[in-house]
Amino acid sequence: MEIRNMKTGLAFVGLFLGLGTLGCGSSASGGSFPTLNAADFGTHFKFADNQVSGWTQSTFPGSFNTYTGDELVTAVDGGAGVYVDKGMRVCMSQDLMGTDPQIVTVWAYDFTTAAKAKDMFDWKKSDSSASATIPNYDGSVAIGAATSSGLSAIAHFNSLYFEVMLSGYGDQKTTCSACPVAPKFLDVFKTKSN
Amino acid sequence: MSANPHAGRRNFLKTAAVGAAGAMGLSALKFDASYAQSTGGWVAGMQINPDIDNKRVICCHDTKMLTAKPANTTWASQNANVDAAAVGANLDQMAMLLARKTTATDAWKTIFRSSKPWASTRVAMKTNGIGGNTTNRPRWTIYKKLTDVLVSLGVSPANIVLYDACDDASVYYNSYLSQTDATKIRAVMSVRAANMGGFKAVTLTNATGISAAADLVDGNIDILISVAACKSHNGTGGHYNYGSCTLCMKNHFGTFTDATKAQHSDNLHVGNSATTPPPPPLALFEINKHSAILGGNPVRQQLCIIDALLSNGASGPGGAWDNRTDRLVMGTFGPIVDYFGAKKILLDNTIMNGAAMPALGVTNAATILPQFLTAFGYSETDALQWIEYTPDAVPAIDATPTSTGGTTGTGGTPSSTGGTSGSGGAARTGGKPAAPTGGTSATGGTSDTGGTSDSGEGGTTDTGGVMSDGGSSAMAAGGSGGTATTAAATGGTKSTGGTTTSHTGGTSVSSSGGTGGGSGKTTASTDVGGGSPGGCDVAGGSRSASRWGAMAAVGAVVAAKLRRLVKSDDSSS
Repeated sequence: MEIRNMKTGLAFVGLFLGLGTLGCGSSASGGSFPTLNAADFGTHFKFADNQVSGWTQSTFPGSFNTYTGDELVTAVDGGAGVYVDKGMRVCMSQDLMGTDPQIVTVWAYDFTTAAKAKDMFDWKKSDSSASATIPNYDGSVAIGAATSSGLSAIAHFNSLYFEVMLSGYGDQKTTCSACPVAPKFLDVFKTKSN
Repeated sequence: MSANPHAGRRNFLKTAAVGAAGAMGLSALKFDASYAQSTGGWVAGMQINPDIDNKRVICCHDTKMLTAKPANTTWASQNANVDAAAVGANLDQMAMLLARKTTATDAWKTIFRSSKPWASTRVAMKTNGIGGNTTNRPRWTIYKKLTDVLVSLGVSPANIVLYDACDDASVYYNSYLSQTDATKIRAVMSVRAANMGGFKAVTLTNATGISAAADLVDGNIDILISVAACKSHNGTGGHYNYGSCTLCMKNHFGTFTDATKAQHSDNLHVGNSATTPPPPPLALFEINKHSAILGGNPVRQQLCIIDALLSNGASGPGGAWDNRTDRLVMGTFGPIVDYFGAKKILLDNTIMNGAAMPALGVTNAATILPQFLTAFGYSETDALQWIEYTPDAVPAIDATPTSTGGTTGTGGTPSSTGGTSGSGGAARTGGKPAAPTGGTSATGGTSDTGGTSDSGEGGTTDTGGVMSDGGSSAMAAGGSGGTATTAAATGGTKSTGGTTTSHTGGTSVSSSGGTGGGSGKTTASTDVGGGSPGGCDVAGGSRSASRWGAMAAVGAVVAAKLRRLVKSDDSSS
């Protein structure tokens, strides 16, 4: 049963991936992403080595994880509450290594509807006072918040919400050298979201 | 080192138990060492360490603890730039300031206490295994220093456990642990509660389906240390709860966990239901009053440390550090340590200049943070002590602050009908006695025999007059003109001063016509006040101290009466 569901899910994924490549822009789509279990969701969004050029998977234990809404607390403690309350169903996280010391932790979340994904995005944007422009993306779809060591970019596509947390760039308050990097990951997420 | 180097404190606890019992009107007085917390955790007014004010919190700000800002947020990077020697030296200095001792050895011996020989004392150090490789968590050098201290006291590395019962922290700390390598954390790792006796169900009022590390619940751990990373905390409904922070108290959401699901503490994370203001985090308070944390005798959780070398301002409880803050915070009482940690670091945008606490976090903290105090009987108007310093400007350690003790009391006025209005010693204003004389006596009180004054016995413990037994003689020796003879007490330890109410004069009711009215027997409350453990060195006492004093006063009176009865029995037999 589980295998059959997986196959069905992956077939949907393939279908949507195929369709997704037909339309690529800087706006969020309004459709719905297929319902995958956590493992398949993670596999779908997991980055391969050099899928973004120069970035490889971290070998540190636990660098790739999937969570259901109920499990997210194990990753982000009580901070999971806001995601779960806003409708997060499953998510994945992955650490990738760039040119030392640059690293990134990416998160992909399924919020089941575009409205919920946008609600999460809007909350996070407001809460973190995110204002850093992500090249090629409208601020209503993707935006960043500079930190003292990098950039936290957020985006929503379709019924999905994403976080790209770049570190190892030094203080980004004045010059955001990480800002051009974030869209490289978001582009992949966007493609996989359709 | 003596297996029980704190006999004096034991005496204090015994006396405190009398005070508590007396205050509660219990008929059965227990003189054993089992103070209330051994069975019930937090008791209002309880002093975590009789030699250290609950309200005293030390913060070291030293930019040299990090040799450089970590290049990125990985766990390896978080640790790579930590100067272990600087951290260790600062922790020593902080301990000295906290315990008000002039040597680190004395300070740590004051902080850490055990009823067992050190060799069989078991210690648990809480860390945080949540999240991933980039999550902000306490740096390993802090635990190394703590285990160095504990081993030097005589604790076996095999009896020191580093744990997070909720999330497996071994992946982060295993490479830094060794029971034999003195360059590492000399302790054993517990994967969740595996080396903590497993889990044991606990019943809470404010959360259901909870279990906790069994060795803490069962009292098999003698010393508990909570070391927390410095992190903001958003939560349910997009609001911020727990005072918008996760520090030493919230850290214990990894001591107590959901009983039925591994690595979960959902049931403890109360829902906000998107309400404003957020509801009180009652489960947070409840577990931090629980006997697993504050039970034991001595009290189990003896030290709370916030590792604020790196802090989370906007990234929340599971996120990576986003501020270099270069600070360590230390105290004995988690709620006040956390209150200050949030107020003085997380909510200070001059410090959190990398990524500030979001506005909603600031708003919600204003509601919840004061509850950190009120839930434990304190308030923001208490004489809380936040002592922040830099290594090049270390405050002087006032190990023997001047105590004014009780001032001269005057005995009752001469009267053929006995003393009438001797006035007791005035309130002590706190401070530590130079010599363990404690409050000796106050005059005044009632007496049907008249007389000058009783001489108190207080201040017999090694810590100074922590608890006076009050006047020892049931009968005054006779009036001598109504002047006090023993009023210049030297004060008790950290006293806020005794309450003067019971020293306001003897009111002899049936003096047999002593030569001088004088004061009657002294009740002990001046002395007790002198010995109240909650006093502080800055403002001279607190509400809690007064509460302690009041409780102890009753106890001391009872004790004095008992002595009289014993003497009476002795003399009649």
